[in-house]
Amino acid sequence: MNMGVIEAVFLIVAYGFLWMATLAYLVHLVRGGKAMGLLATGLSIGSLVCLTSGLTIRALRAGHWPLTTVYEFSLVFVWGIVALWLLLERIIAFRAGGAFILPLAVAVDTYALVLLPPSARVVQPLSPALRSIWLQIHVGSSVVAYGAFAAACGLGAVYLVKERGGSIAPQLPSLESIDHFIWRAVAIGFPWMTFTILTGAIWAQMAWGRYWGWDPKETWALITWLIYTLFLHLRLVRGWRGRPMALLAIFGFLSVIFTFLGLNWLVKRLRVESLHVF
Amino acid sequence: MTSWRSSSPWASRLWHFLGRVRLAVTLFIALLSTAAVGTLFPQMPPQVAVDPGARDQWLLLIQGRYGGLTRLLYFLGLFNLFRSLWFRLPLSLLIINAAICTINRMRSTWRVVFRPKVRVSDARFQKGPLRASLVAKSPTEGVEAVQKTLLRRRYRLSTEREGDALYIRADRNRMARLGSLITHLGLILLLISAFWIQEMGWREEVRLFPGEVRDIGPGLFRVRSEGLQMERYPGGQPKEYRAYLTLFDGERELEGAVVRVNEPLTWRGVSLYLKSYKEGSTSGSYLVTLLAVHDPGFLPVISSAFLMFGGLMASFYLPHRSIWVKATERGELFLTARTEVDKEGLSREFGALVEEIKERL
Repeated sequence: MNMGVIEAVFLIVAYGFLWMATLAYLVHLVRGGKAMGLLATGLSIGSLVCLTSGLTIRALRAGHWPLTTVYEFSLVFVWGIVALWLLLERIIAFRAGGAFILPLAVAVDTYALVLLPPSARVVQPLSPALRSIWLQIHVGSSVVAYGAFAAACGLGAVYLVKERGGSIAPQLPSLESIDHFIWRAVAIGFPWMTFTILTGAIWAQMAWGRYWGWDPKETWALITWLIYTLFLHLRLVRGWRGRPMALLAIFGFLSVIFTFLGLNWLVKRLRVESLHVF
Repeated sequence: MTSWRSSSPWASRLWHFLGRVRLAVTLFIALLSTAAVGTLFPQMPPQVAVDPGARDQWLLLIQGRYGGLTRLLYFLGLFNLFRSLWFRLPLSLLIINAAICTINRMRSTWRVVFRPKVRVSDARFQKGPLRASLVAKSPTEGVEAVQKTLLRRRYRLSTEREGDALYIRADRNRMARLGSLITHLGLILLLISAFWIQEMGWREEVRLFPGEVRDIGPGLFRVRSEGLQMERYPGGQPKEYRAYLTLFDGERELEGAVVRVNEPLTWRGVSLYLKSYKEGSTSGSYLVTLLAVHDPGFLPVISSAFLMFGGLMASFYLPHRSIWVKATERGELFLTARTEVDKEGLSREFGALVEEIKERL
């Protein structure tokens, strides 16, 4: 069988598992029950395994890491969200939180598999500018950071739901615990966001002779970084807790999404140039 | 701390103002809003900004979109935002703020890391947010249970006797307390190296037709282009550009070299980057544009980036936790704990730890 077909099958199965995992998390959130929670985690792991297989086949087919087009980055972004959530789930003991985080992965996966035109899915050869070990380092660390920030955003939503009360609020952990979970997620992602920006600057210097060019993508990555820097200082030094922190976690992730998708629109509209492919 | 501050209340007030975390928070918001505005307007390339002729031409080009407002927007610095005061001022203040905060915290952090207090007041054992008290059959049994439990959990212990009580202090990742200092130090050094040391270097564009020789820097060395080669993928997309060069020391031919995208050639402190190419009149002859950069800040930038990342990993991935124990002659055990970052995590561990000690008693 054609390798491209096998890749597609893995990616579609991963997508299906992701939907089922999301539904299982939702049922677990509303009805409780340990078995449903375990099923949700199991389906997420299944989805992650299939996605990893699909991406690996794609990498073998292309001869380089699948990190160079919007389509490929969307897929590794999904990978990051699911993987970081599974990691966080082990740390914070709040499995039902997946009901708020996996939908973000479903949305990004839908964007990649359904909304992007088929031409965007074609394997592209590596352009001269991207032929560097820094590509894996720079993009790889951004995946970890974005995955953790997605979790923080989902948990921020959990906080707001809990605060409003309503039928599912009693099933959620205390406001204090949720606040703590948001912080954990941001703390996991922040060093890697910093690393992404630093390696980007060093790579730029080594490839083009300048660290920073105020390319809109660079600027928005910096804005994202500043939002989380603000989060950390408000929480750790000023002792802020609660709703403003939840809102900042949500804003931070909106900035991530804008850096990832909104900029393409901005670049087109304002005719400013960007070196970044995605 | 220093005498000039106690002798001058004005300087002391300024120091206090510039070192406030509230100022840092304001500056973060100022910088991120300015940066966001900067992506809404086209920004002048640096080589255009310094050349009045090129600048007027550039402004004329965007006049179509901004019309009569063009000059005003330019005057306000919106096309040059990242070099304007709107951005430079908060950034400079932030560097000063980070430096003062770091200095202010240095002493207390230093003390925690290198001269930790083993003995804490009874009030901490009685009123601290995390505390527990247990009774052992004998003082030695109690102390042993505590030590075994803490060692098993990778804590490092130090003890001190005061009267008939034994104090134990246990730390995990105590060095990680330096993380925050290192991160801020890294950031300050990074900004200084990227903005200031780099400014002490220079950059110039060099255009070369095949066979042409040009001077690099003020007579550092000379370079001749031997042509450009392009490698393509089977589908026709470019795979690699290679510029072949020969270097000269005065008239003396030194050696041949290749410059690729992502692989500059560094010689005598100058890096040559392949910037662009243009096809000449005859096929296969290319005008190659090289960028020659002398950046004395590169090593400092790399090292400070490394410091910054290392500091963050220490702070967030290896959080420091401390536990204090007071064991009395009557076999009573008092425990309390403290951390700066992951309070809830510590509270969970503290509960488990107390249970474990109870089991050992």
